[in-house]
Amino acid sequence: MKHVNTLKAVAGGTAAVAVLSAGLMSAAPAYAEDVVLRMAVPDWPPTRIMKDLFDKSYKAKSGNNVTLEPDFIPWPDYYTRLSGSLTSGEKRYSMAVSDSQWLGAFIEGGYYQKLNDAIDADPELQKIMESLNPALVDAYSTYPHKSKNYYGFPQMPDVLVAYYRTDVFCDAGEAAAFKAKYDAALPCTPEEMNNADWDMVQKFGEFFGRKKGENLSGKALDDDFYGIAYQAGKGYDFSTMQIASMIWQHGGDIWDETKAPTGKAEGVVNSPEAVAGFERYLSLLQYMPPVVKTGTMDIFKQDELFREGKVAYMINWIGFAESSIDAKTSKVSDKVDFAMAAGLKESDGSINRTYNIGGQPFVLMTWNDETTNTEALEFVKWWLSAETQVAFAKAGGQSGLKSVYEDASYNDFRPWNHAFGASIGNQKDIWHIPEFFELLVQQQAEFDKAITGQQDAKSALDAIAKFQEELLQETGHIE
Amino acid sequence: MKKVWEVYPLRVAFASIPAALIVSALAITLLPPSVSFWVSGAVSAFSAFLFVAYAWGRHAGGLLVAPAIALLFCMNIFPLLWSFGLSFFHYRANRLAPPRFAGLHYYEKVLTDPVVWDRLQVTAQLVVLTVSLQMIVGFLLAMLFAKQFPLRRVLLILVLTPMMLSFVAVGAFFRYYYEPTFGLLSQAVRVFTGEPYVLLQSTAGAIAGIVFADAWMWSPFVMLLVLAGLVSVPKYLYEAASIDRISHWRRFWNITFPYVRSLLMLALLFRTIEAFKLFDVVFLLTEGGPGTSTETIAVYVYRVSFQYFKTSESAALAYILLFTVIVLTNLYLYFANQRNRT
Amino acid sequence: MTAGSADVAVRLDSVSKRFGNVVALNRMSFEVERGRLFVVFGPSSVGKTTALRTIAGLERPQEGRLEINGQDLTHAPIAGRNVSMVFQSFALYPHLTVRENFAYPLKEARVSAGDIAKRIDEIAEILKLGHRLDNKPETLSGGEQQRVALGRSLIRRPDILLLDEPLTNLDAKLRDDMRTEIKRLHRQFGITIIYATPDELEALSMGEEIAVVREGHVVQTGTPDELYLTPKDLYVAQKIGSPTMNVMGANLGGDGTSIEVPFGSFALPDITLPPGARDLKVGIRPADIRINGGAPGGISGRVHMLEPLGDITIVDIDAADQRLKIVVREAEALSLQPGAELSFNFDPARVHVFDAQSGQHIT
Repeated sequence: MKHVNTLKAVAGGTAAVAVLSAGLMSAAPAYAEDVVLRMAVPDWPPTRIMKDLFDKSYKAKSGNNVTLEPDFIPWPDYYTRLSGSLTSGEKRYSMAVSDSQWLGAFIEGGYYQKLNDAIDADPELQKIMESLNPALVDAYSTYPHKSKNYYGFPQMPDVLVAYYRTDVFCDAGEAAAFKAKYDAALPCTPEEMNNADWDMVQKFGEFFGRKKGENLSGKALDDDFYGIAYQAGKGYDFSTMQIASMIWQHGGDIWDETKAPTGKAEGVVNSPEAVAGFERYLSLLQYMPPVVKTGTMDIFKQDELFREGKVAYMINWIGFAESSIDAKTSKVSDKVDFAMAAGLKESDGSINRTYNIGGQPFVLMTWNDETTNTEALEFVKWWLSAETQVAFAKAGGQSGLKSVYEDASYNDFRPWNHAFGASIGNQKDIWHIPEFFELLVQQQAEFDKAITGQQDAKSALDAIAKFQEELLQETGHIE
Repeated sequence: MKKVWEVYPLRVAFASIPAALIVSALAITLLPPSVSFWVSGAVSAFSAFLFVAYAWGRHAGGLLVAPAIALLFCMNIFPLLWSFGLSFFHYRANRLAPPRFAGLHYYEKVLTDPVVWDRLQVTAQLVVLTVSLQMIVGFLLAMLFAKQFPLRRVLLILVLTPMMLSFVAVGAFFRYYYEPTFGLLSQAVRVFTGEPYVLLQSTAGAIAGIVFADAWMWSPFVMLLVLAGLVSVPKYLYEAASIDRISHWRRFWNITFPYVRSLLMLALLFRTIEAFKLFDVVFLLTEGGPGTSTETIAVYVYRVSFQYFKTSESAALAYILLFTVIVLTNLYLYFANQRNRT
Repeated sequence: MTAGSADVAVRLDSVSKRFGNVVALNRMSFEVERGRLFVVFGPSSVGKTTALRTIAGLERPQEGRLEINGQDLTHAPIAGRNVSMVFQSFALYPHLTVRENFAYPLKEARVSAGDIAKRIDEIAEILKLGHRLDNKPETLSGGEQQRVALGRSLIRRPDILLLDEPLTNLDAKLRDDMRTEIKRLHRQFGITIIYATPDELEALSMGEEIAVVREGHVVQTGTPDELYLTPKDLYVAQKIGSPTMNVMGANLGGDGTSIEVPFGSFALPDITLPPGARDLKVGIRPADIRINGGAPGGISGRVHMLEPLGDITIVDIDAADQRLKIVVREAEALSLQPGAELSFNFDPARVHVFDAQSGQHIT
């Protein structure tokens, strides 16, 4: 890989020049340059907030006139637009927000810049990497997965958490009826809800599924109401994120890229534990709004159903939390609380909450010139400084810096923050290899058949295992 | 003095086409893409220049369309040829690695791939259903609008609206229409059954949903064409027929239908080609689900091309599809002409 | 009249039809004897076509009564009338061959296949279309198309055949032939034909009886001779006869026995003037005026223009500011030049006198 070597040389040179120029600068007033950091970003609050904070408070230490120019691209178009720009060779962006799964494809393509030399040359960056939650570093930065090659920094970490309706769960009448039916206490506070496992969630589903005209919290319903919801959509990764989580919790595994080339797909992907996890996932779908039967209940649909007040308990990304407590967008804005997402109760009574990681890193491009690259790294340092991260979290974002999210005050910024810090360490990620999209699309289709009742968990996982075994052998990931 | 265009005959210009193709092929094989792009562009431009120079003075009128043709060449023909070339090389658009020659590898791969055949089957199923429905509904609508009745113009505009909407709007609209919790369809069924109605749950339901949405959007197109035929039937023929006491059925079949037939065939052709490429509605409504039971070949090409980034394979697949459509079209035109001749 | 209507095929009695504000038929009345070739004559858009369409059943009149074979069929459906019609545009079914065009009405009438074939052969024989039976109409000449249209109408053996300006779309030579053809067919089939035309020559040469129509109303019905010799009013007088009758303003002479016209006066013919009629119009047919070769007693005039038509020449002359058309034989016209002086005279007995206000012919 010739260009990588060249890159190393350039990066090394850059670092040397940076040190040199830093020395010069202290001596003489530097000649200020205009530097534009053009960044591809998805259009949603975490990136909007970033732009706001930058414009309000960023001041380049170099004295250069640095501006951040994000292209805000809607989520559904984002992958297509970003890949289109990268592969066309227009070299438009110097930075981009990237889903962690895309790392392999775009690193192999030669677009994302390897950051090891920059980190080695800069103690400040080293400190940042150390203070990030290791799960985030693994998922957002390393390629091959969990190696020592670093490519990205967290822009916005995200986790799956439980959203629930306080007017339903904290109603005395409902609690009494629940107690009578299951001989169990209906959770109300986040602490109580944190103890909910899948058996309990199944009870929520059964208990709160009500028809139009029946009573809920003492009031007659004007429409059907459903106990629970989690993602079960065919698009993108809108079932995999939940299914992989439940497979891990039940002791199963996906094809593990870190075990390549000896790790197999057959026998792993369709192991009895994995089947059990997927069966558990499928068993709960019956308590969800009927759209789940069509395989189109993606994270956006779930969010909409919850905000429309159709669902008592939902597992979804924290990224949607802000709009669920906003009276302008949510019918239930004043009766929502948050807890850690449900997990599997182990024999020792603890709850296994292994979940798939969310959120996105940002990356630097290989074609950046020295000045731009230096300023981009300066921008990263500013973004991942405790001060900026606190401001970001206060405005509705999340931080992956341990010092920030472990601080007691963090939980007071937003009502769901207490669930974030506790959940972040339990996170794993699916694959990052360039063939990730083929794996994902085939898997989503097989999952979809199971979700829509056309096959059982075992045959779905068998089909996935067979496909992955063949593809990964063909591409050399499995011997 | 000899004029420029007298220096060489037309066949020199024609000969430059294969020469340009060979040079381009060599350039693509031997040189890095960033160079071969310009080399190919230059030889194409030179070839075009030979034609222009030849035409200069002899066919000055033809030169007036040259800018349009040049634009067409840059925007359409060149990328087409380029992607056609790529289908014979190992190449992925998301890698910087230069293309390597692959011969017919990808064509063989695509044609022997059971997934491709499965998607083609799905596509054929949808094409047959949606096109038949469009033809029938479009025809009936046209019969209706060929008559005069109050508010006809207003209704006509309303009926034509779906055709003018964007695919995405239609997809989003029907997604909500079929939605079991909020959707109109489900609400309506619930009045009778008390249960939410989940159309897209089964393969049959998903196909029905797609076919209905597509037909809703495109029946007006068939209607427009048929209507043009219907109003072109001279009124006196109907009067003559009524004086000859011809029955309504025979009148329709022997007088009206012949006027509509060629337009109907045209609509059939357009709609079949379009339906063969069915993508938007499928992608927005079902993403090809449940499972892959509604994944059309167009959706599959999209996945191969822009999600898997198997550029060469998708190019090969796309050209096989193009070839299929061209063959089908010509077969159709052949039969249509046969029929008109008798 | 009604009593003896056994031989009346069609009777229109004060039939009116309006399309919006446009009055197409204004109390139109006429009667067609069985077996007649009856011409409805008048310029375009006076209601001829509407009258035929009403008889066919394509239009329903708002007032009046239509009888066919003595039956009131004013509001009857088309099917019960046994009337056939040939349209100006021929209205051949373009996607059917000539044979199929012929067979079409018969198939619907459940005639057996053998009979259909026989009748087609017959009609093709009569119309000389045998070699064209398997062609599509568009490949036929205008005259052939016309004959197909006629054949298609006749093959069903209707009681009444309506022809709506059937020759208008043909060129002049073909018209001559087709006129003869239609007359021959009429004789051969003996059916009642009602024939609408704006062409005077056609009307006079074909019509056994002619109804002259003006603004949706029949002005006069009669044989060609009757119409020529005793037009009921100025309108008929000017429509019938070619070249058109010379019409000029005139006054009754002071003595009441002569008529004064711009170029002189002449003795009042043997007519009964209504009391008080002083404003008159005088019509002299061009054929009634003769050049008298400079003999005395003639009226002097000047040649304005010559219009040679072969055997005869139409000469426009100016006599005391009055333009007159006269018809002279070719030999006579040879001596005439525009601007030449001449004298002419006419027989006052053949002069037509009309009331200037009402246009009525005074007899």
